[in-house]
Amino acid sequence: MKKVIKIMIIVLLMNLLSGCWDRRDIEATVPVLGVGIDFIEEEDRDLTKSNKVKVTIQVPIPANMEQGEDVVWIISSVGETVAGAIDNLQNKLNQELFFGHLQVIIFSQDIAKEGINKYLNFFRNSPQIRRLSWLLIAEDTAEDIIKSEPKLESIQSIYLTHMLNNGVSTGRIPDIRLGDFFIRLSNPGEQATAVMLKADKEIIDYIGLAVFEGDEFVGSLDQPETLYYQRTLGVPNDTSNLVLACDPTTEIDRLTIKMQEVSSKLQPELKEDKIIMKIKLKVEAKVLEQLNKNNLGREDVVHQIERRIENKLKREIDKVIEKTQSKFQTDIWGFGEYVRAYYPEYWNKIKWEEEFPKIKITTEVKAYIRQVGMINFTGR
Amino acid sequence: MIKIKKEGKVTERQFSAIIINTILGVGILTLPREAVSFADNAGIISVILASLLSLINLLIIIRLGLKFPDKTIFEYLQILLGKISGKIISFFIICYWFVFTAFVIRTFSELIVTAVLPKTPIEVVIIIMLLLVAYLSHKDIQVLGRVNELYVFIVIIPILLLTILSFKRGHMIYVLPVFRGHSMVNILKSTGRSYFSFLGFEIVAIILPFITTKKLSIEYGIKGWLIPSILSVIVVIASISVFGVFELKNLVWPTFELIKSTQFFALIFERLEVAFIATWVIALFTTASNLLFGIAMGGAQILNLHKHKTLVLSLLPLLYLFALSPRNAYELFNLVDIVSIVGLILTTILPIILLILAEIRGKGGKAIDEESN
Repeated sequence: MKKVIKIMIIVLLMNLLSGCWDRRDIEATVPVLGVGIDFIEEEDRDLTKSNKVKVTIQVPIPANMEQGEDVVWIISSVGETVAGAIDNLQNKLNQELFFGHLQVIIFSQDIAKEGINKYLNFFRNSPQIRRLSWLLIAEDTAEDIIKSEPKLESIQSIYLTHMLNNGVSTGRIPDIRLGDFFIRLSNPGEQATAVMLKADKEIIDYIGLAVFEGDEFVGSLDQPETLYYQRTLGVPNDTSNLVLACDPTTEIDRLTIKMQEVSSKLQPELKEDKIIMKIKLKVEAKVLEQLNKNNLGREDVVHQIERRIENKLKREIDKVIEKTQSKFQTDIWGFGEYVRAYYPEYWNKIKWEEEFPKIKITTEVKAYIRQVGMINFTGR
Repeated sequence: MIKIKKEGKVTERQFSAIIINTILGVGILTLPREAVSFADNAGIISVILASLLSLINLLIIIRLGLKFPDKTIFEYLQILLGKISGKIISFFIICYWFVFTAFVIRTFSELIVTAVLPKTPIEVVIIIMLLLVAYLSHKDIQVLGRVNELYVFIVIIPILLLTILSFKRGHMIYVLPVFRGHSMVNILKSTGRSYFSFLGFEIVAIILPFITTKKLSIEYGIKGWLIPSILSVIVVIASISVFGVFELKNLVWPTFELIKSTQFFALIFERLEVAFIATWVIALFTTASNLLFGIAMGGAQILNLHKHKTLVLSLLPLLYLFALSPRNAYELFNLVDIVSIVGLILTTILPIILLILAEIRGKGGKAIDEESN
């Protein structure tokens, strides 16, 4: 009997004591899926003479989920700081904003130019934000991207994350998320980059890679350049193809290849107090199409194609490196990390930002053709 | 002197479990930051040095304890140093454990409040945790041993699994250079800081008289030291490889952030940090209750009480006040640094002095047993 009473007391106490201060029903929260941050319109800015920011958020409407129309609600608000603008947003809402499901944070190019850190601090400090969310840079305004209406998915942020995740898994889009961005901001040996987007009503377009110097946006690499940037860092490619133009000196016409396996080796070398960065790239390619009847089966033709891939890749990669060294002068490659790792004594003596534009970078590409497809041309 | 009744026994496995659970507390949550704070990439060396230092100290304490096979440190302190000075030193040890326990509880509550339960007042979190801790320390050592044995794997497996998973996002280039380009002074400074995460092993000074087979105590003591050390090294390497040294210095809770950026099975298991916190409550609970048991036991032996239970409840309000005393997390971390320096001095210097004293005076061993009986 005593035992029964004891157990009953325990059960009762369990009910009484297991309350939770932070209990929040899912209906009582407004989950934010995407945040866009812009400067407010130019005219308004002049009037107020302060750089106010406009925060646009995207919130799903659960009641409309079944019909599939008007599934998201987009609201925006203005404030002196990001946290202030979000606070103003809160005034317009019946329930509390919840950032735990935040998928994308989009900054406009203008904000990024002024230095992204002060606007990013809110997201960095908040424990709700996950480091695996995406940080994106919009070419015009972030609002455009938030307001775009992709056809395949009713919620833009979800569409965007699917697009980005897919891009990452196929090697088209660099895998640089919020956490990686923070790390690159802190690391002296590499500079921050972020994926850049452009929206036009229905279409959200991935246009390349935003390049930062410190936390300031300095320019961007376009899509093909990003492609070579990715290959240089050894990310294999599943979807994008490389078209080799017709070359009159050999008997091969234009052909399209795909880089299936890429492995890169970055090796810094210190010679007479100067760093030489050696990039060794190994590419396994597959021929997708070739426009003349030429003969893949012939050994020397395969070799010729391999040489052409090597030349083309080397030329393009050198161009991108040249661009980052002379135009942006920022080390988005992370070469500095390699120098720090292999030559710590040297690293302690120099300032990498000043040194990077001056270092010599050599690229070496080796291409192999493994797969030729279904057609056998040997018979002619 | 009235002897406290040494009720119950701990098996050797429980002995290791107690050491593991006492070492694994809040230290490992901030360890990666502490390790790299001065030493940068050589933080790994600092952690290894700190763990080796704790091993040496652990072995000295066990050797000392084996000289007085059925006495706790508070009893043989009085034999070695005389009654009054022995009691003063004992009191000092108890104070250190007391502050240590209070700050351990506060640190973890701070994490819970910032990360998981932002609206819950920190007082409530502390009170609930203290009540739970007191409930266990109120029991006998047998119960303590069993609880520790039961929980040891629940504590180790999740953090090990999550840390290994986090390597997926790591870059090995961030870990280098481990050996070159660092000054020895910085490495040692970091070692001092990292040592905090290994504190807690000194609990063996209390537990040793209760172990069933005294001969095995060294072997199982090493086993108890090995697991937390390996875990710490893995956590530090993983954190450095994922975040890099410079980002790590910016993070208040590096281990927590590490788990936060882990994702496994794509989208099914996101936000693993909450699950991690839930299991880590147990790690903290065992640390605090083992230490509180030690405090109560020591207090009872100084004050010549029969049972340690008498003190547990009366110490709670004081513990609560101490836990609340730091104003915010920054002040807390500064105080924790001071406590860890005290701990470093206390656990390194005191046992060795005592061991030398015991050798010189020829006290200890069987001789002293016959004498006092």
